Amino acid sequence: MILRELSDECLLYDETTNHAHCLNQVAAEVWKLCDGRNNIAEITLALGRHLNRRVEEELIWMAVRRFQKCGLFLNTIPELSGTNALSRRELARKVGRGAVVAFPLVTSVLVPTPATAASCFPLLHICTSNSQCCSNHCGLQGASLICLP
Amino acid sequence: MEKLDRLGWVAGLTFTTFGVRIGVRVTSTELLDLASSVFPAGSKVSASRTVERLYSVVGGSTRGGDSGRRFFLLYGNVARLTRTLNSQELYEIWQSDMDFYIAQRAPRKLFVHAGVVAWKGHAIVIPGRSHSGKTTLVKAFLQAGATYYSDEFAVFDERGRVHPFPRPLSVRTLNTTRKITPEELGSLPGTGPIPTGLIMLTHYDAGVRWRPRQTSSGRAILGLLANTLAARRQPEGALATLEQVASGAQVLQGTRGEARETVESIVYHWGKKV
Repeated sequence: MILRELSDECLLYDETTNHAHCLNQVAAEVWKLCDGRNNIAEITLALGRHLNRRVEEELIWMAVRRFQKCGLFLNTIPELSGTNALSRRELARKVGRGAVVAFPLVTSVLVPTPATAASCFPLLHICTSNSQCCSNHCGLQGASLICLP
Repeated sequence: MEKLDRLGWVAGLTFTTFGVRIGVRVTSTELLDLASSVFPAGSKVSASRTVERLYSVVGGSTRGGDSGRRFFLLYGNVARLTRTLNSQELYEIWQSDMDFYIAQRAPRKLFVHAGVVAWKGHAIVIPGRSHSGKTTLVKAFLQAGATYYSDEFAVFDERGRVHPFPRPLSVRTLNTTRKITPEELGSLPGTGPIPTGLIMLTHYDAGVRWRPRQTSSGRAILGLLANTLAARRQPEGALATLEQVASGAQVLQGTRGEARETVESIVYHWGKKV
């Protein structure tokens, strides 16, 4: 996992799955505290100190669920249920609107292969391989290879 | 390769482009003129005899297309890339393959699939997949007075500056692609590296009004990374470069409608600040 820390965000690149993740400030802090030594209560306290505001434990669980979904943990966390599994909307209702800014957010993308990242040819354009065609079908028509539907 | 080597090669050249050494050998000297035009602007003839990729071009007559019915054969290393009577087809296949190779292998440059124009000395970078409307947007920017940098790749150096990669614009219609030079649109190609001023994470959707929201550097880096050719091969370097790119840039995200309205809005709101 490659880690790059920006001013108020954190980027993670998973070389095994080729997924890149952008963690906002809250998610980044939680992720750094998830080092196998802190429990949820300790992470909650530490995050509260860092953000200088009261933090709900459910917020940490929300981040943990998200990390697990994105494959950012080495180990699988036991299934989350009950109050720990509140949705963002439920949590917002519980802690009030002011807490919305403190939600942990993770945005992920699948990093493409070179051929996927490059441009592609339209139908009937000459081609040499399937990956060159937007239709992903480079076929023989007459004596030429062209992009086919 | 041995079979190819035995053909009657009459001339050859080595070019260095974006730090990649590419060789060309031909069976007719007039094909060297075609080779020179295939390489990107700024390519230099090199004395090196070691190359990373070798193009072998056989036969044909570059004058008059199919007169004499001699086929052109183009090989990239040992793989045959095309066999055609048409020099324009040969040119397009060759250029496409070469650009793709350079974009993956350039040692000190990062190639991101994006359109790039310059406005008041700052680059506007529009990353995106094919059919996301990049070329239409680039074309509209050029018609509004921007300087042309690229329709295909944003070429970033380690300091995050954008270098020109001014191939003609590939304007798609339903079934064909038409090449347009920036000069035809009243613009000129850029000449040197410039810092990135604006990153537009957008795609076209008919009838939508451009109402962008500012987004973070991290999201911009993800948007660029999702269109970076060498991202899987060198993720650490790619992230470091893209961090430099995004650090000084404004980032706008949103679906756009008509290109002209979007460009007018950008020029009015963002263009005044630079």
